[in-house]
Amino acid sequence: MSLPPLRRPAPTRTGFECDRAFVAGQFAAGVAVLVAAIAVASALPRLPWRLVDPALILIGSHPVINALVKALTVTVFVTIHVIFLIWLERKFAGWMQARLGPMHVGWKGALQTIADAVKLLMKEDIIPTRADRVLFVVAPFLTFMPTLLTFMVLPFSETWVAYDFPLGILFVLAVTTNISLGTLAAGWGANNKYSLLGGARACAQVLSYEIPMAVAMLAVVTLEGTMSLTEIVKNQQHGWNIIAHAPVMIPAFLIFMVCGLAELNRTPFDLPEAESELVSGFHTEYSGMRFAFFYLGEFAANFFTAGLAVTLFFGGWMGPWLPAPIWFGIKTIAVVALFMWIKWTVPRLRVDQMMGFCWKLLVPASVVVFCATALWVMVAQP
Amino acid sequence: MSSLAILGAFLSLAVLTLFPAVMVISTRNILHAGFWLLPTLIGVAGLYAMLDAHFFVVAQVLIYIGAILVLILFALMLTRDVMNPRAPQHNGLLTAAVPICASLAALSAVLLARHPWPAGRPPEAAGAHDQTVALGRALIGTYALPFEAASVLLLAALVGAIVLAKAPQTEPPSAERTDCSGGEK
Repeated sequence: MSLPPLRRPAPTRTGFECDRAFVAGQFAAGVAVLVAAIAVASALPRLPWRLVDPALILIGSHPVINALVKALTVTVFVTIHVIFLIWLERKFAGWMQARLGPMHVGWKGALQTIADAVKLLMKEDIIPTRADRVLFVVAPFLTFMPTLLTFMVLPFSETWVAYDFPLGILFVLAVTTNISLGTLAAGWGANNKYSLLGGARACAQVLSYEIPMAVAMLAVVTLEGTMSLTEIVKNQQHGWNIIAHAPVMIPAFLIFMVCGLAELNRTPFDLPEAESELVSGFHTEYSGMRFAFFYLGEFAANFFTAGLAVTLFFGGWMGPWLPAPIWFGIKTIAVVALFMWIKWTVPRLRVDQMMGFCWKLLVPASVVVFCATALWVMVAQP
Repeated sequence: MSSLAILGAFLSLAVLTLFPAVMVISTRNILHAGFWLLPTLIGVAGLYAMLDAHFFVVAQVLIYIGAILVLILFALMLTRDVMNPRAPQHNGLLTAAVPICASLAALSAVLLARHPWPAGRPPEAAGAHDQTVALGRALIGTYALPFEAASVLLLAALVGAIVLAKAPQTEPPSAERTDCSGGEK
């Protein structure tokens, strides 16, 4: 009796080379469009774009309703755009590592994040027995709330800003430092050595890097003479800060970017959640929805930091033809892509390197840039 | 805003400030005490907001919560034996402390009662931008000397702290590791 011949699976096309080329082509086309857009934008005089503002028509004038609608809008936006950002990050990582990334749920895996969110919602909520229950439960919200608050002052256009606070920059600095309280609470609350180490690292890192970041932002304040984010964008009507004041603003932007990466705990500064040494650091013990909150906060902060860079250095919502919020979105996603590019290119630093880099290089450099900006204002501005 | 709304806002901010403040000194877990400081400091920031002192609202959050509170918690996490529930919460100075605090409270009450509080509507406060400009000018103008003296004081404290922290290194470092995992042995 002879066995039937083993059925060998039909040789399938891996699709690997083909798709890599396809993805690379898509990306190149995207970059080309972006570069063309930026070139056009800097060549033409900036047209102030007054969008017929649906938000204003809807909200009306009652202060309480106004505030509630704005709060709801910001919250919904922060939650929804993170779904897109996580998909983008995974696709980007796939492209950088010569693989496909999520492909199965929806077009090119576009709905993967929604599937993941549903999975996280339905997971068992585990609190370790010897954890500090109160801190453990509160920590994800402590991490997420400051990020949500920062969106309050981020101007998507001249009118699309929830609260045009005259001290916007200071507000942003004040609120973002509070994120480290959440990571500390998570690190301690989990009662896990890795979590504690991660929490302590996160705290030291955020506290250190917020100093050069603040000084770099103060350089922009010196240049513009205002702390309102809306005013800063309006002052860039005749040229982005980074082009019009290139000698001082390019170093300031570089310092801002490096510190932004560190504040976001992104590689090369992802020591607080280093998978290989700390088993994900301060969110080791988190699962389900609480874990999702950490991720939500992280990606929202990502978008916010990119948006802040756009506001301070790249002319915010200014741009020809397209409505202002769309320009803001395009520029911000470009900076987010830059963050992702760095994240998937550079390896992680050591703790001592990270601290030394901040205190020995970035802090003095930021002070020098700040003084140079003051001189630049005195010399160049009559 | 009607006066009733103002009163309501003030009372809720007062509760937000005072209840956590009591919890800070009464809770036995010193790390929780640190975290209870958070609502207290936010409440104080809210009181500044009610007084239209925009710059101080932001400075309160930036300095007291973002820097000092985080530093306190960070230091607590690196301290040994912070969660010991048998550690005494009082020292033996009750007999001295009560009269001193009582006289301080009485003095404050007398001063507050004698102060000629302005009645009626307060004048409209300056905008946040103008306030900040005025504060900046005052700090580098009228109050430049006190401001710089405070900076020197802080610098001295910084140097002193470093000297104190460096001193024990003459002894050989102990091999025992710091136990910061909450009494877990």
